[in-house]
Amino acid sequence: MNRTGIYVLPLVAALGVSTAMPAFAQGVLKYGMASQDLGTMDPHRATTTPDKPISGWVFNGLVRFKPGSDDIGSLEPDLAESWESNDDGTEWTFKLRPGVTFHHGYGELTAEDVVFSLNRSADPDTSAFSSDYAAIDKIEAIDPLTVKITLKQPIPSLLGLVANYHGGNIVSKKAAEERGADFATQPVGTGPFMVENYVPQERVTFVANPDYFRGTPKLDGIEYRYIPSDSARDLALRAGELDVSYGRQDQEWIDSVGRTDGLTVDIIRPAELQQFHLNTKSAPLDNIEVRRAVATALNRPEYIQFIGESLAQPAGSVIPAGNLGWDGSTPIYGEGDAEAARKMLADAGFADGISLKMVQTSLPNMLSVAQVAQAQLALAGIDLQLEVVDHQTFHAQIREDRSQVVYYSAARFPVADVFLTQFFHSASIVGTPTASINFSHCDVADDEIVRARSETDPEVQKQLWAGAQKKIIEHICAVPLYDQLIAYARRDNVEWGYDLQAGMHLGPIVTELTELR
Amino acid sequence: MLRFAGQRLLTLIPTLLAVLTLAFVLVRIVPGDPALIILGDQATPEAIARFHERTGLDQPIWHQYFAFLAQLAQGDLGVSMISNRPVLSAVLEVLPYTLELSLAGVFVGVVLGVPLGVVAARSNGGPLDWIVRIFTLGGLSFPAFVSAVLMLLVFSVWLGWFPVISSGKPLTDPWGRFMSLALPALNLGLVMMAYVARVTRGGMMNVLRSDYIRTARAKGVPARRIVWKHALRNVLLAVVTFTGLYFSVLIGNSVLTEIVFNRPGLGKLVIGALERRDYALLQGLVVAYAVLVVLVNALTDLCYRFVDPRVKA
Repeated sequence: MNRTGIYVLPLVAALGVSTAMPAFAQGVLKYGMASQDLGTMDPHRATTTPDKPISGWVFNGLVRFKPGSDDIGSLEPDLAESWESNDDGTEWTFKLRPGVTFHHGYGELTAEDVVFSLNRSADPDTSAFSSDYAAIDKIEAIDPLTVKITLKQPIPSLLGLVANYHGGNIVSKKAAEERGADFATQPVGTGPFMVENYVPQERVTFVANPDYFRGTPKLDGIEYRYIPSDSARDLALRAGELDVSYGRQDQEWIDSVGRTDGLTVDIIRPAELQQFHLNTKSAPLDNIEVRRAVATALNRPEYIQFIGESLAQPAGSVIPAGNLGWDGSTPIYGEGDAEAARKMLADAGFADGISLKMVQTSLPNMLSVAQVAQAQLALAGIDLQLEVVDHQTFHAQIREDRSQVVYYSAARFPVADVFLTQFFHSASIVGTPTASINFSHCDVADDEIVRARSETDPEVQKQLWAGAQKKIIEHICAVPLYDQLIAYARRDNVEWGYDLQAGMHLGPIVTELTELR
Repeated sequence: MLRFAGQRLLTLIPTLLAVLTLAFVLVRIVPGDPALIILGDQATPEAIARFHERTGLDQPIWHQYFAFLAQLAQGDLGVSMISNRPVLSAVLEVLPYTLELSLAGVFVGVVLGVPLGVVAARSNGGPLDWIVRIFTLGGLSFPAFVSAVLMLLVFSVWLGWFPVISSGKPLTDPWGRFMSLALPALNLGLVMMAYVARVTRGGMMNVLRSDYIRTARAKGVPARRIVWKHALRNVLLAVVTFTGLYFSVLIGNSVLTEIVFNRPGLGKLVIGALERRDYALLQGLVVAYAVLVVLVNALTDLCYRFVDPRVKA
């Protein structure tokens, strides 16, 4: 979540913008992003929505998500031609594709680059994703085109860790060592596009990699423009100065763009689950009947209406839809029954109602959702006291365990283990030395989460994950509100070259097949 | 003149020190942690601790403060905590854009504002005066981001005269650069124009009532010459004072214009640094702003000498 902007688009929409679209095809795709500036192009450091798409254009993994898909079952060869593992899944051997070259004359890809990259991803000093690689024992180059990975214990998806996502992106060893901190602005990978130039607060320009191993890209390049204002991005798109633009994430915008000739809205996964985490150790929420009352008073269908059906989907579990291991079989409270909630509170000894403290980010999209909740809970005599602070303060304070209710919006690597571990395993409880982001202090599903991690039978593993979700829902550690998708707009002459359903990099991936017609 | 400049610089030091201390303390009082930005929201406590160690954030605050001052005394603004790039180069990269925009805004403000004010004063209570007064009231009360969007909509999207994205034109393309500067400068200069027109109008009305103007009239000097030569010269003193003061405000105000017109600039850098809790970059920016304001004030003093021969520094 990193959005800044001035929210004056309704003004533009109200004036009924419509213009003739100049239809000239150019070889450079102009892509507008809602950000002041680049954070980093280092794929092992890129954690924000504006930074992530770049990794998908510049780098490859050993395997890759099929373009346009977030299905972990659809992983296909990328830099590796083939791979095999031993029976218990603790030793993996990858055969690299020969003749792949790095950008800017950094030579051929070898096993040494892969070993360097994965070790770099596992090192907390150089990577934001080091904890994902904790199970790796060693990574070796057997010969220039063979890499062997040995695990301490089996994990749910080793292939996910070497995919073209986060730490799985393979960088040039020579370039990373030579360039040091400058690698963040001058990265070197093997992907279809190479970084040409970065102008602070303005843009990054990419040129096609003529030696790309899947063939020379159809586009000549990409111009990635940083345009923080929603309305300016919108106007630039309508004036033909952008081909693709990160959308304003609401229904009104989607409808307005949808009505405009020459523009198309792309709504993509991964879904970010919007969820209220209830602190199960803090009075009065330590009483499960009180949590039940809160969950009952929340009216989940109203959020779908509020956000809009294009972007919001009903949430069926405490992990995001589409995750491997997601299970929607346990009923969730949240029908907005204020009377029933009042009665539950009275039965629990709180006939006069309760008051809950919630530290809330001032990001407009999230703040409005919290305000809806505040109004819903008020009907049941629950006073949700919002302490609105800026986004960084919010992140700091919720990690200090200062909010009884935490509204968190998140997508994770799409395997149930990651979300369950970070949000619901007792080792992740905020304020502890091993803390991650378990705001609810939930500890009821530790056993299932841990056992599923090293379970080699996929069916048993799924049952364990389903069991964990059931326990968390029934213990009411969290109330999932809805799954939110991501909206982009593009001009009709942009052809992605694949079926766009999802973007693991939180944006449409631009491939060698993408073109402007 | 040199002595004058030297004195200026000396008085700058305590001011700068106070501003820096304030900035240093304020950014650290606000909760938040650059480590979470760099490491992401899934960062482990261990990784955060290592980041703090590497950037010196684990040291006591007074230790950080003196380390920063010592660094600054050597002319080193340090490196950004987020990007690891030198703060000085980050500032210098975008400074020309901010200066370009602010100067153009001042130009628009003065070139449009002064004649408007003069016309209004001459009409004094007449229809032209009313039109100017309503027009300037509009300029004062219209939020800059609304006028910016309206301008973009009309001139860039509907008429297609100017680009929507006002950046990315190199100096080697002066026409493109001018076209992309025009709307932002107009937007930024509009509020200033309104102020300048009011200052000019007020000053003009006073001056036109003064004895020497009456004398000039009695001598039969043409009205046009009285207004534009004899009276305006005296009014300009107030305009220059106002412009000098307002120029600093303009540098601060430019951020909204920078955002909507998508121009690089100091303002956007400040917002980015605040959002990311990039303490080092913020401190560097405070220094940059302080130096800018002092320079502008010195320039204003210089201008007095041209406008008013009585002022001798």
